[in-house]
Amino acid sequence: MKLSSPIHRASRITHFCFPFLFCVVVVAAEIDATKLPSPAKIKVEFDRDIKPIFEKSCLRCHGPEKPKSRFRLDNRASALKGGENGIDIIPGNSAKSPFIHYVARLVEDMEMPPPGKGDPLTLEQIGLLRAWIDQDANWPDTFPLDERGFVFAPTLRWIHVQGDEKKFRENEGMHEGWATGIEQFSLTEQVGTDRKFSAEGRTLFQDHDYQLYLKLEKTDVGFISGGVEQWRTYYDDSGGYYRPFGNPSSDLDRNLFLDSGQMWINFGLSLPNWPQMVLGYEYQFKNGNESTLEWGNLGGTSAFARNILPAARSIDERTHIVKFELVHDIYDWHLEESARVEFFNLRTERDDVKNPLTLPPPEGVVQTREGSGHVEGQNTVRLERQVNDWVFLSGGYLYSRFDGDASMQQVTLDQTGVLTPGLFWFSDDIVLKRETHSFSVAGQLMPEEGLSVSLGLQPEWTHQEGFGNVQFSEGDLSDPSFLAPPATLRSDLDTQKFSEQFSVRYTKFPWTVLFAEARWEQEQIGQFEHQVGDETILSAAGFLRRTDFTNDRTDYRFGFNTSPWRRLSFSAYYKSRVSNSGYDNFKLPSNSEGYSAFIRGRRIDTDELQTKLVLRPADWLKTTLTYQRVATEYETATDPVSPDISPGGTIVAANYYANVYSANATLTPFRRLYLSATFSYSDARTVTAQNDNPSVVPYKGDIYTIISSATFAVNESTDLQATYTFSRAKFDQNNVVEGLPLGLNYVRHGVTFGATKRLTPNLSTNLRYALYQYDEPSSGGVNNYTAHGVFATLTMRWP
Amino acid sequence: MRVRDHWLPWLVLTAGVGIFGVLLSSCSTVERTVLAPPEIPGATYAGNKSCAECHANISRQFPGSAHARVHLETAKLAGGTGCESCHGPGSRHIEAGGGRGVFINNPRKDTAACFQCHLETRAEFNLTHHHPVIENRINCAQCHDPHGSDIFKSAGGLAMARLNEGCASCHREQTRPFIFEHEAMREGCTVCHNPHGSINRKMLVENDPNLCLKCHAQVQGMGVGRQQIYIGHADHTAFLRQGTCWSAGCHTAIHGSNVHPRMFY
Repeated sequence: MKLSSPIHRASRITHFCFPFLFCVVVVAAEIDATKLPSPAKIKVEFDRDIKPIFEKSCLRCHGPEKPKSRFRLDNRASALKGGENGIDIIPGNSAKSPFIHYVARLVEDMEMPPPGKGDPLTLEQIGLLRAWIDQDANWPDTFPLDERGFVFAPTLRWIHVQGDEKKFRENEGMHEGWATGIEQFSLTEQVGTDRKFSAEGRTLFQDHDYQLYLKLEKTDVGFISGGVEQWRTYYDDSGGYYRPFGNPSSDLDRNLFLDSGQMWINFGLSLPNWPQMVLGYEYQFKNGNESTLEWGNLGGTSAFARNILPAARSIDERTHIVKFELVHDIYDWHLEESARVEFFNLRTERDDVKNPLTLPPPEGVVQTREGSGHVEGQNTVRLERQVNDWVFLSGGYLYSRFDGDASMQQVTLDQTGVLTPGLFWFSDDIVLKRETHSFSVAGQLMPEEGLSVSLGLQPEWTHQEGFGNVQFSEGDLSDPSFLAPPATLRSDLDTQKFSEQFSVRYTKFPWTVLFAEARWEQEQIGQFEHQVGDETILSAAGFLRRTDFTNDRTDYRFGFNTSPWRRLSFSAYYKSRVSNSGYDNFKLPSNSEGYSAFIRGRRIDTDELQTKLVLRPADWLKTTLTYQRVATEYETATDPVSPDISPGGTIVAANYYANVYSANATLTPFRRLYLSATFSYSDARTVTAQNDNPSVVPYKGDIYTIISSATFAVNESTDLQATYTFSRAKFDQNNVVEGLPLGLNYVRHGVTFGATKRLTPNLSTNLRYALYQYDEPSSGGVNNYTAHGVFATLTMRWP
Repeated sequence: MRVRDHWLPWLVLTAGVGIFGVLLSSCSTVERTVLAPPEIPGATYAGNKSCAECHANISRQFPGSAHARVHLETAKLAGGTGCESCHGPGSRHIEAGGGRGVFINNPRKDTAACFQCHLETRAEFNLTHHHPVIENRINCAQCHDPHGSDIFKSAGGLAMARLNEGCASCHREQTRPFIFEHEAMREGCTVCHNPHGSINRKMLVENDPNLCLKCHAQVQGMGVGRQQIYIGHADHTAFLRQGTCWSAGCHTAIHGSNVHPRMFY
């Protein structure tokens, strides 16, 4: 406590610096001024004579950011103030200014620029610097770089949509009609030599899109920063489409959107030689209604029933976060400490159509309200050290603790909103805990030039437990046996995980990098689940489960990158990833077949290959071509199920592959024209074991994408811009008779044309026209739209 | 033939004529230059060693990063793989004494630098359901540490990624503990979702029962007829005819349930 007090620290610094100051004075006094080049015999102009020298030879180390020896040469006040070695520039007396002695290389170990950091100054340059100091070291206010700036860009937008407006909002992230806002706002103000205020943001009122960042910083003291950010995600409210029903997909007739965002404030301390510290508070939120894929049933229990009715849920999620971060370099060690505590609260509500296969008519909904809250604390400390030129080590420890609770309340309603026989599950005392310890040790070795090796080890232990009482009340409310006694649920998970990592990179072959990487993970989970009390309608009888889960994961990658010619670079890698899981299950009652504790093993085996060719046949043309292939095989082993339902054993559950071809060309055929185009094509196919069932067909298809843009400078004040984006997905499925086709088929275009005109050096306008077109045959055309938009922005800039 | 049925060729033709006219009419003596990102006006490549002088904390961990695996100082194609391939040529930034955003590109603010190389990822972000990266609401570095030893985690913390931690920082609802967890979460969120973008809602990699059957298929026994599907001990044939596993009030608590071992709610 005493050691960290500012007064004590200041005295330590003074104590430490005094011999330095003394030495500088002594050194200055001992310099033979006759060895110095003579001052230039001209009237020095800073911008013409001195500023270029500073920019070329000094500012890379003595600029405003992390100046060496705390000596800044970007403004007069700082330059005359000096640095850790005392006063360096004495106006009117260049012969006694240590700054001149250093650049004249008369002081051993203080030659400026230091060897390897720049060419020594010429006699003429030193003469100019001497003359500048002798002439009182004049320095116009316009240097350093004038960081004052102001940009304000109000914008106006109009969009007209023909067709499905909700789908347009979901796809394009914009609301149709008129919209106003500020496309860009920024303000930077240098307050004195060491204080800076900056603000930036944007807003579009109709889209509820807000962004504001504020920061006030003072060099060598600290900063305060804060901000607000929010954006709106729109959702289409339509469900699925089943062609035999004749009608297009129905919708909820609701305007669904979810507002997400955050607010924050940080207080930072950046005192010299002190740890860099930040104390902050953050509030994150999600609020609104989103569409879900839990589509409801249409058709009841008939063979023609399909789940296509649209669904949505409301979300109110709030998270408060308090955080503290510390970064410090001490005795060649780099220390990072990060602590945060999160207070999370969630409320959701959703309606699901009653399960028609197990519940009798009348139709209705199961309304589910869920709540969840938790406090999670996490602390991470990390140490790094560059031991020598070829060894870099780091280590860390993470501790995390989660304490939470949850609740759910469920009622079944008929179409008129009146309680009706069905599910009435209830729980308000679910308790969840999780605790994690994790360590990390990593190193980078460069034993010889051209060879680097990375090693890492990260073990982790997690204990998680859950407990709750649930009333599975089901059936008719008027039945005396309706109220079920509470069932007791409990689960424990004890996880141990070890991760190891190794990589090597070799660059001794001419113009070529060879690399290989490996990562291994071994995970063991002791899983315990216990339910006392039955749930009958959806079949969850009481059970006891103990499972020992093991997982071995390997990840290998090797490849190369070569650039033997100035106009070419080629790279390729192969990657193999295998996840092999085993479940050793014990379950009571033992004749309780099926989930949970049913899967005995799983293997996911993925191979991936990627190549990339970069060609620059001319300085104005750069092309990139890539090809990627991914193939995955899934194997699953299960318990036997009697009578004769399954003998158990291993099955190839699925095969997946994808080929992705991409190409990009960037052209500047002449310097006023910039063109860029990216094309990508992928074909993918997933086939699962489905016992020839016609309801489940392969999920396969193609996706085409084009993203292009062009900018042309017509004259000194006018630019033209154009963009074109295109995507097409073709994942049609032919299971309309025995299933529900869910693969999407769509074509989407986006075209914009615009012009920017600089009316004055500080004022410019941008006018754009945009066309959006979307065609989705797989939804029966109900989601189609064509939209036209006009965007106008006026940008005021100062200076 | 109705013109409105063939709007695209007309649009392209009109635009082409317009552009040609502008090219003809524009003054050939204009001196302006349109820069291709991540170029910086007047700047030249300085090399990684120059960056290390001030950014030691970043550059000393860079050799272990995913981006370093292809980095070569002696590459003939300049500026293709080092610091400046993403941040732009650094000579003017160095001359100005550094500073955040001073003659240097920040890919956190403009992801164009990332998409120069990751073409297939850029295409995924153009699909109908994607994280809002190209809208500048989040950026690549919020999920990936471009300089650290593990690209599958955000910056800071331990050296290697922990399961689903990148997703959990925003999606707490789905990644919190449950009494009955869905064991697919042990394989990671990406076993079901493509976080860059997908044609499907919720960024699902598949939009139909194939998504679930990849792990939940079983050998069908003698007592199961052809075209029947049993999962566990339950005949799912009729359910699968109707749609997906998570629709119509079935396995809706797909990330985990606090009340039901089969993820019903």
